[in-house]
Order: sequence, then structure tokens, then C-alpha cells
Amino acid sequence: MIHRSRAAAFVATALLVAGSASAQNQPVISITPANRARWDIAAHVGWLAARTSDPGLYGNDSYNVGLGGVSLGRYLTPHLKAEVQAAIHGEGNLYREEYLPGSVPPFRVTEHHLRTATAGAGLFYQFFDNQWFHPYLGGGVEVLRDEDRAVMIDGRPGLPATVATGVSYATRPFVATGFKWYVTERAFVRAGAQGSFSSRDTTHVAWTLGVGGDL
Amino acid sequence: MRTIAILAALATLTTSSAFARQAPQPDVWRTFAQQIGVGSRVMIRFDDGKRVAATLIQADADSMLVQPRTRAAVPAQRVPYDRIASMERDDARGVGVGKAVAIGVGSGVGAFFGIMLILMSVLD
Repeated sequence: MIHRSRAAAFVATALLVAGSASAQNQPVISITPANRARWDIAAHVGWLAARTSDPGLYGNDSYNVGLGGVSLGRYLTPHLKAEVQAAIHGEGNLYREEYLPGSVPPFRVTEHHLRTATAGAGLFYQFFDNQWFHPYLGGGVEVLRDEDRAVMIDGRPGLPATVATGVSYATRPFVATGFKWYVTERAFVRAGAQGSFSSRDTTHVAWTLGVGGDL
Repeated sequence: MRTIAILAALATLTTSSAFARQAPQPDVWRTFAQQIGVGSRVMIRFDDGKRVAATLIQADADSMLVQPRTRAAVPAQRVPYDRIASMERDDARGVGVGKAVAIGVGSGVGAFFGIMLILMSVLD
């Protein structure tokens, strides 16, 4: 009975607050055009800084590569947009040295040549309404396809290097921020940064600059 | 009992804050609109907190007709004076559109590549 009365009190308070808010805030003026854009499409280029680490290995943990991608967004409201995006990255190189106790020589060197492609989907909030400049914030989930061509050099004289190629997939969250700057009523320049993270201490930060249009 | 007391206090606070808003000054804004002249650029803040940049088209006794300055055109709209919290002239101040765009694009692209270079030097 006490729970029921508390629930009733909560509902009454919520209605009072909501009612008072709506009574105050009937919009005076609308700046949303009647034929507002429903879609936005964009292409971008940029730079990816990737950092990764494997415990027990020595070498460099990061690489920087160029990237290119496209995106397609659907405006759910004038501010909220659902977007799918895809990108391909240039080849990144990592050098790893593995200590092998008891072996002669006691190490093995591996050069990793990494090529990554990503596809993702997310929700983005765009600030301001029908203006020339719109900052945005967003987040979502992306799938990574990592192609790793590993060249292993054993270190013993006369042994050729061995090459192994593997493909792996991973899913991870991303966050993004940036701005759209319209140069005409529907065409824009977009600049932004997008970061994604994983439990294996892998971090990707992509800086992008692109062009696009509202449809 | 304590929960109900807290809820009652919250409700009182909310409703009293609504009543405590600044009283409308329609006469002030009517006089202002009629004196600044048709074609003036104005920045209007409404009683709901929303701000709109607009061009004054017509100032009548109870309301004024304004054209919002937006990227995609919207129709001219009537604004009752008693919904205006504040209004001021919004004249251009010396920097033209072309110069502003050039400065903006230049600084944006410069910042973009500057940050990338800093990041590359940090990670390498």
C-alpha cells in the first residue's frame, strides 16, 4: 500500500512538472523548413593513428596511415541522425620482437603489415537547427576487418623468412565529434575525429575531412 | 512520508520558478520594433529560451512579422510582443561573409593538420 501511494505521488509530481513545462514552452516561431532534408551522404579522407600492445613482446606499438570512407545518414529528427559508415585504411606496419628462452638465437622478429577496413552504425546528435554551422556528437558500434600479413624472421642463418596471412574480425564501440559547415543550402564540409577502443588495449583515432550533401 | 515531502517541495519549486519568470514587456518591444525600421536585422530571445536571428518585416500593434535568417528558407512568421524576453539589433560588424568563410576554412584546415602532426609525433 505504501509502495502504491509512493508511485501515485511520483506520477502526480511528474505530470505536474511536465504540464507546467509544456504550458510554458509552446514554440513561438519555427525555423525548421517544410521540406527539410531526410538523408545526408558524405565522403571523407583522413588520418588514422592506431595504437596496440601485446604483453611479452617488444617493438613499436603504433602506426599512422591514411584512410578514406563514405557515410549515409538518415535524419530521425532535425537533430538526431542514424548513420552507417564504412572506411578502408592504408597499410600499417608493426615490428615485433619475441624473446625465446633456450633457443639460439633467443629471439624471433616479426613484421606485421596490417590492412584494416571498418563498417559501423551509430546515432549522432547535431546541434542547432537550420544553421550554417552544426557541431555534432555521436557514438555507435563498428566492425573491423584486420588483414595481417606477418613476415617472421627466425634469426638463424640459412632459414628463409616465413609469411603468414590471417584475417580477424572484431566489434567495438566508437565515439565521434566534429562539425558540419554548410557552403550552400545543402552541401557541406565536414571535419571530425572518431575514436574506437577495445579490451585488447587497441586504440584507433581517426581525423577526417570530407564533403557531403543533404538529400 | 519523507518521500512525499520531498516530492511536494519539488513540485512547489517547479511551479514557483515558472511564475517567477520575468514579466512580459510587450509595450517596450512594440515601441522598439516600430522605431528600428523595416529591414533591420534583430536577435530575438523568446520566453521559452529559444533564440532566433531574423529580419523585421512589419511591426503591428500586437505582433511583428519577421523573416528568420536560416540556411534553408522558412516562411515569414508573426511574433507576439508578449512572448519576447529580449530583442536587440543584430547588425553586421565589419567582417564580410567571404572573409569570415576564408578565415574559418583556413583556421579549420590548419588546426586539423596541426593536430594530426602533433599526434603523429607523439605516437612515433
